[in-house]
Amino acid sequence: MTSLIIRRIRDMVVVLVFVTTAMFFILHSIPGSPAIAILGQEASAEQIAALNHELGFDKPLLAQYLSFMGHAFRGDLGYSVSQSGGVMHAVLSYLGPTLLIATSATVLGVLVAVPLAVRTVSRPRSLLSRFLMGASSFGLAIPSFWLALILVLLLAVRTRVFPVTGYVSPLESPARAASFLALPIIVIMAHQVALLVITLRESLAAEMLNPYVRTARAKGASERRVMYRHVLPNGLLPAVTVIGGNFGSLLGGVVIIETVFLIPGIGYLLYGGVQARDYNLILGITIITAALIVLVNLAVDLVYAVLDPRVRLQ
Amino acid sequence: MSTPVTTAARRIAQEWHRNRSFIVWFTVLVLLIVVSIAGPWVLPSPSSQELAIRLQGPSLDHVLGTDDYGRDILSRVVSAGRISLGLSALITMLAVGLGSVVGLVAGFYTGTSSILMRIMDSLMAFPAIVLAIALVVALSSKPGALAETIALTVVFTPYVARVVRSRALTISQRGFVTAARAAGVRGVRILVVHVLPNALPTIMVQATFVCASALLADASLSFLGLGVAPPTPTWGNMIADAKPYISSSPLFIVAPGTAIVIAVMAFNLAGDGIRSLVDPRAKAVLNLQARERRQAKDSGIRGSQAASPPHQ
Repeated sequence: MTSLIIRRIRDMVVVLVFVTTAMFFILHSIPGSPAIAILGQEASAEQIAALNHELGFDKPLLAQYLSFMGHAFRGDLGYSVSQSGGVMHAVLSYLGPTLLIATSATVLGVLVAVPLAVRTVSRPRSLLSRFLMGASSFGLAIPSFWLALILVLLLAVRTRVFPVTGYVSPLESPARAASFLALPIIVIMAHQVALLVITLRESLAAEMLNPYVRTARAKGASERRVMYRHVLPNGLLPAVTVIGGNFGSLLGGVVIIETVFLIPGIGYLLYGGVQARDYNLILGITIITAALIVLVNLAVDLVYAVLDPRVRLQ
Repeated sequence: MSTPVTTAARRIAQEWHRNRSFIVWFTVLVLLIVVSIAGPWVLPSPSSQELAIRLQGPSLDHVLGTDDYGRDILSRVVSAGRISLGLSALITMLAVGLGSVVGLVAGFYTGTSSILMRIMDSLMAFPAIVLAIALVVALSSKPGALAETIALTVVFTPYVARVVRSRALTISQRGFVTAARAAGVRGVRILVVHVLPNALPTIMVQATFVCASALLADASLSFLGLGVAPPTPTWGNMIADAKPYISSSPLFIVAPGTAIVIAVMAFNLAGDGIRSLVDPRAKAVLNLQARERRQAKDSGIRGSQAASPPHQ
């Protein structure tokens, strides 16, 4: 187990170095100097040279890279022009709302999806099951930002159940925060539940074909007990991988809908960075979100190893 | 006498019985493609403006109403389909082509696997849309179809490569590959003649899923103003255009979104259909359903009660 953790952490560091290197060179291969993008086409040659010097863009690319990596290892991701401050500081101060939406949508999504998936397998021909399968395919196909806009129209503009856009920190006022976060969480959850119902249904259906199900029934276990005690623990394993593997697209979904709901999270920050052509900020955000995903995958692998001894012993 | 046509018809009839949703969604897919190719010739021009009739509801002249410049929404949705579906198809071909080559090589020449797959893993470590946004910004000062195509190809290639690699790895251990090796067939030839054809079903399934994801990513990028720019319509930039008029003319925003949902569902479910023919896990679900159906028929009672085992 310890060797597995060490091996996985080593892999994680390698991937992170790769990721940082790749993003650095991609974003620094931009045609035209970042200073022109910041100052505009009308800037004089001296102004551009001065800003390039100030930002360190006049040094050779390799020197820039080594200095960037050196700082990155110490948690310094450079200076953000649009935020007038450190990239790390900016990203960390905008990370809260994004993570709050992502984690609550995942937890609530699992709580909703597991009983629904069990239902679709134990009664595959019931109306509810058929409806759920259709609804899940629908949920996977719906673009998050469009669903967000439609829900805003129906629940915020027309009926005024929820506020239209904005954000209040849960530390300030939990009740108001919940009302602002309800729609974004519902939007992200819809996708999460759809994905989980589809995956779980498949893995539970595959588990149902195993002989241990017959044994359990033969010894007189109730159908509920067979499902929750025998089939579900085995069928949940693939779902853990799916939740982990989907964390990236979940985060991506949150990033997009933050621009719809005007929530001050990573997506909002990224959108501002794109508008301002703030390359350091874009680079920082991509690296930190990648680090988050790698961390989540590590956690998932470890959870998997705890749940399934076969993985641990390999 | 069985001609190829009657055989095909019988196959389809059998498939219909077993897997209705595949046939339905495959038909929808074909229809979507036909409409977006032929539609712009039949419908009024998507760019003819009549400011006098802006933001109107549905009428006989404009079935889905008009947008903020008085342009016909139906025409715009259909020609946006041409752009969005066309771009997604192009991205899919590039990503699937590139991903298959990487996957096949990494799966067959296992020595290359650690480097190739590390690169793929690194690309997959980013949230897809965040990577796409960063790439579009990096690739050009003005976003457009080319930057989007390159960005999304880079984003989706690793997903294909990973699946194809694991399939190629399995195939490479099969007897016929060993036999070909023993017979002295060159490595490249084994890869192309023996491994590739056996990996094709997997690659095709991946292609449908990549296409669905590419449609959604294209919509997100053009919604954020990082894809094809207006006045050329795409489903994503139409939604962005419609955003300010969401409560006064809801059809303007509902129409392109519905088009995305239908197209993505068609690709996903057609892909599921192909997968259920080749993947044992997906088959398990179909078998379970078929068994329940049989049981329901045998006991002569319709509905779900007969299908589920008695509760205690």
